[in-house]
Order: sequence, then C-alpha cells, then structure tokens
Amino acid sequence: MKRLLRPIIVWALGVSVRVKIMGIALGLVLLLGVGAVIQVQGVTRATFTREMDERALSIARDMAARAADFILLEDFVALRDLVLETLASSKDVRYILVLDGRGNVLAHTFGHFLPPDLQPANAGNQYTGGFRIQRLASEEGILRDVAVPIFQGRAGVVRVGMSEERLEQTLTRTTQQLLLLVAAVSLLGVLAAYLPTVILTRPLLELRDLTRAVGRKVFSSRAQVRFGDEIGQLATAFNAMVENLERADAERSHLLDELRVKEQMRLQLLDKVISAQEDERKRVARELHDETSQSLTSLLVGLKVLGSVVDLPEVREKAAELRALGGKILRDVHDLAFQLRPSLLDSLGLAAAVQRLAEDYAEKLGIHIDCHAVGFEGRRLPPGTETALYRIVQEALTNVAKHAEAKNVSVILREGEASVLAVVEDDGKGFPVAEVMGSAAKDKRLGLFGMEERAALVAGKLTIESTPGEGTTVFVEVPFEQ
Amino acid sequence: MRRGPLGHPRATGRCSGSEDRERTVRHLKGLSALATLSLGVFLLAGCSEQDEPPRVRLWALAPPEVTPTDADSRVPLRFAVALAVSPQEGYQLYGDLAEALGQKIGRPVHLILRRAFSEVNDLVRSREAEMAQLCSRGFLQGHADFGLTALAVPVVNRRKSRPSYVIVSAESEIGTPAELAGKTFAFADPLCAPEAFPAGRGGQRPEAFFRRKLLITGHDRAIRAVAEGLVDGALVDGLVYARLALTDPGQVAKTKVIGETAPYMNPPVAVHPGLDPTVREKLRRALLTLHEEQTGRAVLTRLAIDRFAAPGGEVDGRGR
Repeated sequence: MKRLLRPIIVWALGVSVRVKIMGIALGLVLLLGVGAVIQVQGVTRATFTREMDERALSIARDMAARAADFILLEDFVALRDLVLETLASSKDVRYILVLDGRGNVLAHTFGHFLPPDLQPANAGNQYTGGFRIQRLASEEGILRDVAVPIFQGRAGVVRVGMSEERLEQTLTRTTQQLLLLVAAVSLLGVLAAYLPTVILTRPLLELRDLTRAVGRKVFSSRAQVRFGDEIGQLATAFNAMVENLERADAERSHLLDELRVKEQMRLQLLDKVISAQEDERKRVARELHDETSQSLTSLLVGLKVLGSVVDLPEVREKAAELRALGGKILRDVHDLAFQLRPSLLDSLGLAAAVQRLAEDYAEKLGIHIDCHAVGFEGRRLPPGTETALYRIVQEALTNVAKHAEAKNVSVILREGEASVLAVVEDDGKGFPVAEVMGSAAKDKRLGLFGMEERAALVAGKLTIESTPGEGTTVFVEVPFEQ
Repeated sequence: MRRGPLGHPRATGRCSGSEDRERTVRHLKGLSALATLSLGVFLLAGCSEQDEPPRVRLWALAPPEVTPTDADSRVPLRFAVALAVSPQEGYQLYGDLAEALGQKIGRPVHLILRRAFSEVNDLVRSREAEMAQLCSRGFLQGHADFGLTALAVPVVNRRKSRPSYVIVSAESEIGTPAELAGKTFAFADPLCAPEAFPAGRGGQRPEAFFRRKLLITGHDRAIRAVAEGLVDGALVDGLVYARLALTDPGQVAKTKVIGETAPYMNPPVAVHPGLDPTVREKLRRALLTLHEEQTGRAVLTRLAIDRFAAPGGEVDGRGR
C-alpha cells in the first residue's frame, strides 16, 4: 500500500502549483458532492421507506376494516372488487392478498393464479403494533409486504405489497440530478479556482523568469509588487536582492576596470623604473667616463707633468692646480652619489633631506622655494616612510619644474601624533585634475600614479588639488606607528 | 528534530529539500487517511438495511394453495343466520352459540352469516344449510315456501315475542313518534319489522312523513347512528336493543325509547323439513337444554336470551 501510494504522492507533489490548487478545489468539491449524494440517498431512502410503510399500513388497515364484513358474509365478489379497487386507487401497491385464518387465499390482485412464493411469505400470528412488515426480493426489485389481521385475525389477514420501484426511480433521478449538480459545481469550482490560481501563480512565474534572467546577469527587470501579501513581500525582497546584486556587480566591474588600469600602470611603471634605472646607469657611466675619468686623466697627466717639473714654485703651482682638480673630482663623485641616494636622508633625516632638495631645486630652477618642517624633534620616521615621502616631494618638485611654470613654491612637512603630512604648493598654471587623472594619456598620469603608488605602499593617502591658472597643491599624509 | 509546543516537528535550522518533501508526504498520507475515513462514514451512513430479504417470484404464477381442513373428519352442520346486527357483532354472538351447540350434538357447527332472511331461506331450501335462525317474517315465508320447521324460539324476559322500539337521542326533545315528522329516520331491517310504523298508522306513507328515510344494515349500527346524532330517530329490534344495553351500555344510554311496535315473535331456530329426524331431535334437545349447562348459559347471556323454548301456538302468528 505504502509502496503504491508513495509514487502517487511524489507525483502529486511534482505537478505545478496551478494544478495543485485546482486539484484541491476539485477534490474538495467532489468529496463534498459524493458525500452529499450518499447522504441524500440514505436520508431519502429512509424517509421514503417510512412514508411507504405508513401508507401501506393505512391501506391495509382500511382494507381489513372493509373486508371483514365481506369475509364474514362470504361475499367474495365484493371482496375481490374491493381488492381491485384499492389496487387501482393506490400508488406503489404491487399486490393485495386476502387470506383466511387458515392461510387460504380469499381474494388477490393477480387474476386466476398467483405467485406461489407469495402466499406462504410473511406468515405468522404475531403482530407488533397490529401489523407485520417483511421485505421481499423479487424480479421487480424489493417489495415491502405489510400484513394486517382482519377482525383480530378471526376473519384472516390482508397483505399489501408495496413496490420500491418508484423509490428506486426517485433515488436514481435524485442521484443523477445531484451528480449533474456536482459536475456543474466541480466545473464552476475549477473555473473559480483558476482565477485565484492565476493571480497567485503569475507573480511566482514572473519571479521564476526574473530569477533566470538574473542568473544570466540581466539586472534591468524588476518583479511587479501587486499586493502586500507574502508574494508581494517576496517580490519586494527579490527586487531589493536584485538591486544589491546589480550594485555589487557594477562595483565589481568598476573595481575590475580599475584593477586592470592599475595593473597596466604598474607594468608601465615597472617598465619606466627599469628604463630609468638603465638611464641612471647610463648617466652614471657617462658621468664617470666623461667627467670623472676625464678629470682623473687630467689629474694623472698633471701628476706626470708634476714629476718632470723641477722648479719648486712651479711644482707648488701645479700641485695647487692638481688639488683643485682633485677637489672638483671629489665634488663630482659626491654629487653623483647624492643624486643616486641622498645620504642626508640616512644621516640627518627627512626634514634635512627635503630642505636640501628644495634648495637644490631653487638653485637649479632659479625660483623661490620655501621649505618648512614642523615637528621632527630628533625623532626618526621609519626608513620606508621617509624614502616614500622624500621621493613624492621630489616628484612633485620635478613636476613643478617640468609643467608648472611657477615662481614660488612652498614645501611644508609636519609631523603629527600618528602621521606625517607633506604639502607641496605652487603658484603655477595648474591643471584639471579629474580630466588628467581620467585621461587615456598614460605618460601624463604616470608620474602622478607613481606618487600614488608610493603613498599606498606605506598606507598613505595622496590628494592633488589644482585648478587651471590657480596653482597646484599636493597633499600626502602617511600614518606611522608611535 | 526538536518538537514545538504543539508537538509539531520544529526545524532546528535550514531544512533540506528532501526533509521538506518527507514531511509533506507524511501530511498528505494523514490527509488521505482522513479523507478515506470520512468517505467511509458517509458510505456507512448511506447504507442501513443490509440483510438479505427472502426471494419471491412475482412472474411465475400458479393456482393458490389450499390448506387442508382440520383433522376433524366429521361433516359439519351448517347453521345459517339472518343477521339483525353487523356481521362482526353477529359473528361474535352466533359463533359462540354455534360452538356450544356443536359441543352438545357432538358435531362441528359451521356458521354462515347472511344479511337477508331470503338468502337464509335459499340456503336452507337448497340444503346448503341444515339449520337457520331468522326473523319471524322470514321464517313464515320459509315455512310457507318449503315447510321450514321451527325447532326452538328464544325466550327473552320470559317472553317469546318482543316489540321493535322507536328511539331518538337521549338529548332530543322529541317525545313521541309523531314528533319525528320531517326528521331523518333510520330503518335497520324494514322487511323484518312489523308491517306498520306507529306514526304511519295514520295512513301517511313513511316517505312523506319523514324528511329523509335511511336504511342502515344492522340494528346495532342504527342504534349507534342515533346515539351519535347521525339521524334523528330509528326503528330498532327490541332484542338487539336489550342486548346492546348489556354489552355497550354507554351507547344505549345516549338514546331513549319514545315508542314501540306491536310485539312479534322472537327469531326462531328452524330446520329444513327433510332433515334427518335424528339430527333434528338432537338439535332440538340441544337448544332446549342449552340453558341447563354453564357454558350454554354464558352463551345465552351474551345473546341476552333466557333460554330456548319449544315453539308454541304463537308460531303461526305473533302472539305475546
């Protein structure tokens, strides 16, 4: 049974919601209908049977009262007339039998002969309430045989047979009408269930389609919120989810784009770093070859000449020249070394190194550079932070030199409780920051990008404020641990 | 799985799909069991009489069966009675008399009831009945026709004759038969009654005298018709009236006698002249000695008869 029932239930659970709801409506109507048909059949049968019994009893009692005189006076013609008249005028009466006290037939409604089983049926002398009823099965269906004694049984018994045919016909007709009604109500039920089912399931189907669309990364559609019921709440929640997904997707795309650009910039920066490194080596090599080597060669030649000079004053003069030449070589080497890495940064710290950088640029560019350092009282920042800030200020000053056409530049360093701030401000021509940062011209952005990268490496934040014609200010703030 | 306060399974976390399905399947099984149960109740409610009734064949006809008579093989003596009362009343009264006579003569007595004395005379004449009791007028006719012979005459109140009474309702203001003029009137047995109604003796025909004249079969019924106000008056047999006063005094009390006819002979018991003299003698003796035994006396009392007496000279007439 379980094995048989299980696949049916599993199948029933698998059908669509519409079919389920309509199936439930149909099932309920059918159950109610069948129940009503059975109940009505039962009640009708009971009522009809009771009413038929009462009618049969009334007919039989009337017959018994009227037949008594005929029997006692042996007026069997009148008795037969009475029997036939009663049969003709009574509904549902199939037969009437009048028997004497011994069970002999005195009159009946069958003609000359009568059914042989009928005479001995419903026999006996016991009457409950003055009558006796027996059900008999016949070719024509069930008969109800009601026996009533005549003249206290001394003149015999009258038996009236009631046919249940009309009852059966009525029941059949009633059942047919009820079944028709049930069918009509079922149809109406299905139709009535169809509308709410459509109303209920349409949003669900929409949600299904939308979910599939969202699965394909189509976020443009939204579920329609029709009512405030659970489905409406589901649609609202779904829409919120889709919005979040859309936002997240947009953010992700944006981040991906940014990442891609940054990656590209990084590659370019790396390329530039490598080429800059090569350029620097070339410069150092050229510097060493062109300047230092030449100076050393001059020094060697001078020393050789010195070896052949015999005149002391001339020796002294040559030695002084050679010392000056050696000093120059030393300065050149020192400059070269400073350019490669300012030793001041290592020895005296950021403030001194930046001060020196500003002075160098002022001298080189011929402009006024004002440099202030606040804080830095004997304390040293982490080497990475100092280098990053130094290079950012250097890049900013390089930019001023290259692009700003400024007359005055101000460099401020301020050491706070947990961060250090560097500001490079000029009164140059400025530039549209957003435009330049968003432009595709990578060479323009590479310097700025390098500054950002350096700041980011030490968890710092770089901000550039500039308006064309109104100078540029570069802020960089780098946190440090106490 | 934890249980909720109502005993329903409560999910502790996110249910898996299969758990959901299992639970739904369980619920569905419960529902289907409930549906089956309800359907069963409906079906049971619809079915009541389930016992198999005995079968009869209505279309196979045969001659009716005749139950053989009692083992008593003695030929019954047929006693025909011309009823002055309703058949059921007559059956009760004369049934007992027939039984008592049968015991006395040692032969069953079969009672035949008829309304009219002519029918009784016909039965006796054609030897379909050996013995008869009928009104004096019927007897005289039978006597004249085929020599019907009287065996005994009932004695009531020590008299062999009695009058018929004119009765009205006890509440009626009618005091004399003459006041019944223009009223409804019932005759129970005009042929047996004396030739003249007292009111009609003035020469007026009854049809003209009464507003309406009814024939009611049975004197007892006529008395009831007066008692219940169905008719204004009735002419009833004195013997029946006296008997009903014993058996149903309530009915009789609702009536009063306002006149009577001339007395005439009580209904005699008579036989065919050709009846076996032995039988006749047996019957005569049985009748005349009926009052001497307790059973017979009880029967006679119910019939309101003192005893049966041999017919005297008044057999030919209607003397007192």
